[in-house]
Amino acid sequence: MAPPRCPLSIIHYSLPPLATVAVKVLAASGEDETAIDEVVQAISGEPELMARVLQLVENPAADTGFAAVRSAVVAISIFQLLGAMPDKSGCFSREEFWKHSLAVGCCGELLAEQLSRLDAGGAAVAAADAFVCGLLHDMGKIALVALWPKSYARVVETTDLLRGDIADLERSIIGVDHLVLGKRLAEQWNLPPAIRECAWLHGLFPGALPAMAQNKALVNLISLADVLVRRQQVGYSGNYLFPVSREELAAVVGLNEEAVDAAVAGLAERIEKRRAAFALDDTKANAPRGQTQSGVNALDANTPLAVMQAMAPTAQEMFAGCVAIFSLLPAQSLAEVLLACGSDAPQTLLLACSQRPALASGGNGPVRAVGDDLDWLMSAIRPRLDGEFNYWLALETAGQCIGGIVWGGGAGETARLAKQVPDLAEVSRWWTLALQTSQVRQEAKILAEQLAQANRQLQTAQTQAMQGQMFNALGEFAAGAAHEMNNPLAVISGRSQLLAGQLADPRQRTMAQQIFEQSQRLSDIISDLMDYAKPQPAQRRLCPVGEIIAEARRLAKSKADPADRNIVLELGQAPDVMVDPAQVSAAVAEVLANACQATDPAGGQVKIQSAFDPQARCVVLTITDNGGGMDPHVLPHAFDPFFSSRPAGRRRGMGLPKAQRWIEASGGSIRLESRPSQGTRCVIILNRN
Amino acid sequence: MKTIFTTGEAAAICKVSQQTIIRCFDSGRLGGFRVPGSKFRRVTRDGLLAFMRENGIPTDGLDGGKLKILVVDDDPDIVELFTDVLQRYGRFQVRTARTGYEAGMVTQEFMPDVILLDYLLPDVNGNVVCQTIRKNPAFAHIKIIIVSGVVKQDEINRLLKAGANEFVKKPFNIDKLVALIDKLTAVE
Repeated sequence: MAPPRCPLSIIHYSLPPLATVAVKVLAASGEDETAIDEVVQAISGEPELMARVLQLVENPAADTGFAAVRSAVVAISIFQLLGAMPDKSGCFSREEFWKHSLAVGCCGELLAEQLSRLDAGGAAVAAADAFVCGLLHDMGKIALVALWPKSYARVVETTDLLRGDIADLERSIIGVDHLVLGKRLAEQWNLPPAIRECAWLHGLFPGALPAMAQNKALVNLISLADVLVRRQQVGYSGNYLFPVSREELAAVVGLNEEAVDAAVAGLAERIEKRRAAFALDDTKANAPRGQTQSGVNALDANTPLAVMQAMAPTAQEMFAGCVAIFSLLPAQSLAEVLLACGSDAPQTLLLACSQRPALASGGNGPVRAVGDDLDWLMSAIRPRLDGEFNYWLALETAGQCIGGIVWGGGAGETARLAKQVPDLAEVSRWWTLALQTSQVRQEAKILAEQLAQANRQLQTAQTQAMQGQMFNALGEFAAGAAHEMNNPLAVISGRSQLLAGQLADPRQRTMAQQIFEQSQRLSDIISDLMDYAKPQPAQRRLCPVGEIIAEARRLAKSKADPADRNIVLELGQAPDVMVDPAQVSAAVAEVLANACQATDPAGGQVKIQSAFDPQARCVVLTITDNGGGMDPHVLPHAFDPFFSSRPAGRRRGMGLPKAQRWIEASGGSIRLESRPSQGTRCVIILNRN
Repeated sequence: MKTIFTTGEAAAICKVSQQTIIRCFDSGRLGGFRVPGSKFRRVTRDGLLAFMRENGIPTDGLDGGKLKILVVDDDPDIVELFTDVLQRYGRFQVRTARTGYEAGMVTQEFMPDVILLDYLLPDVNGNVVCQTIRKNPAFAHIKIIIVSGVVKQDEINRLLKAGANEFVKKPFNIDKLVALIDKLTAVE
């Protein structure tokens, strides 16, 4: 399914509005006494909400009481609102998601408390704000699931398989990611900028945050909370890639390692405490009451729709009881249309605009009969308009039509209005200006989102490029060093051989032999280094997966101890893959050898599975063992050259790095999952092209 | 290894005139035989060697069956190593060169049976030396073994195409290297 061309506008029409209480709370400022009173009354009118708020806010009467209450009301209202949204995807566990969100909220709160305890002098962050922002940082995902359940199911599956960045996949499959969607939700519901920025910008490198972000400290704090919670593996949120490190974020936020550890230590307890306020178990039973029922949500006054809404009454007065006002964004081919009929609530439509209307020509005044170039609009609204004929007033600027007002009337409409031309011209100028300004704002918003997206992609690309550059530099360095080392090594090797042949004393002869053997070892290490730094290019051709596995088993058996290790094969139907068979077999053999080494000869089990994933169109090989597993400290270094968790001298630590090089050279990918005493699983993905 | 020589070849080796060789042959001072059914003379290796020794002619050109090896490498320690190793066996005669240019000159003069050629030389790369030597039909019988620390399959292939016979990695195993030299020169 190709991504919809302008999915963002759909949100506006498909999502429920905020509860009245929340709207009031957000609108009220902390200083205005009367506003606070109203808010307090509104909350008191909903005992259930009140109860939950009190569970979140210990002391509502304190100085920061109102801000805390506000955050609590917002948190609870939105939580309930999102909870009531449908989820037909079946792939996304709402409960796990909320566990994660609640954990991030609590973690954020704890980190903020640590920050104020340290009184670090840097930007202070209110704990209540951190809580709400943490709770809602991924709310875009709920909206994605509600709006595009099937597509999102695909996103989740593919992310699980490829372990990539879920935002990239969301963009490529659906067309928009949860970050931008979260931002739009925040705008739609008029949430404070802090929440909007956290939803939109969390996860970015601190240095990459846009200058205009006002709550950078908070965003960084939430990013840190996110990373910490994922480390604790609380709940599941679907993402696997974490470009920014915890240490970096902690430093930017202003917390030392102790403080971070203290926050993490208190996490479980805090989550327990807060759970009650959100009643994670019975979300559906608590539908919010008192929702505003208008068909149009409380709008940000700066959007084109808001401007059109403001124009409607005057237009109705001037032209006819029923008018349609449309706005065309310059860069897009969609039009937003507002249909106002009598005193009914105005209706909004989103239409594909196949053709931008031509400019007015001639001096017949601004009012014209509707021509063919408005067919796309008329086919949708003609039934609603009165009168036999259709007329319209174009709003034009800079040589382009950016919108217009359409209505129905009798035969002599243009003549009738001819007398009011100067007034009409004046009004239409003002309308054009207002509409244009709002459109410019709209475009700026879209541009900002695209920039943030590009920034993220740049971040990933830069990391990859740096790694690539590093590899090339390493390759050159290794080649030069290896050559330099080989000559002296040849002399040591040759002389020690000669000595071994000449010395009479057997002990001395043994010593000479040792020198020779060690020089051989050095030579092997240098060869490994050379291989790793400047690997042989892969010669790819189509080969059956079964052959690769068979060859790998043969190689592994000759390499690792040849004991009858119980290797179980579960080979599903898989098409041929386009790889270098020698290299990939060698790579799989390395993994197998590791697996055999890790398991105990008697009861150990090593399993090889192969399967074809039709969604991602790739072949997945999984090698599982029930051995000792890897320490979480060791796992991130598994692919580092020369790294070995075993005593030095046993294995040179090049097996996995070489395997990774070979597999990637054939266009595949490899990753490891392991928990101590739970064994290790290695997933290799190979492609058909 | 040549075991039979014509009078012309024997003369070239001894650096005397062909007439001298014929006279010595005829007078029985130079061992050999006549080709059956013709009057052509043939000198045996043993006969020639004995003749040369008896007459104090330097046996450089024909040295008791010793194989001639030219070692080309710019690292003096490596050169010394090769020389020691080979001379220890007693059946090799070793000359050395440090640059590609020198290698060419010594090859002309010394006419080695085998060249041990380092790939990275100060003036040219080993493969250029290879190609140059191969261009000369007089050197067609010379076996070239490239010795190098750099071991990439595509580079090795290029070297073999440029005319090298074998490739040996540094550091090397002495016994294996000598066995290789013997193998290459055995088919004659």
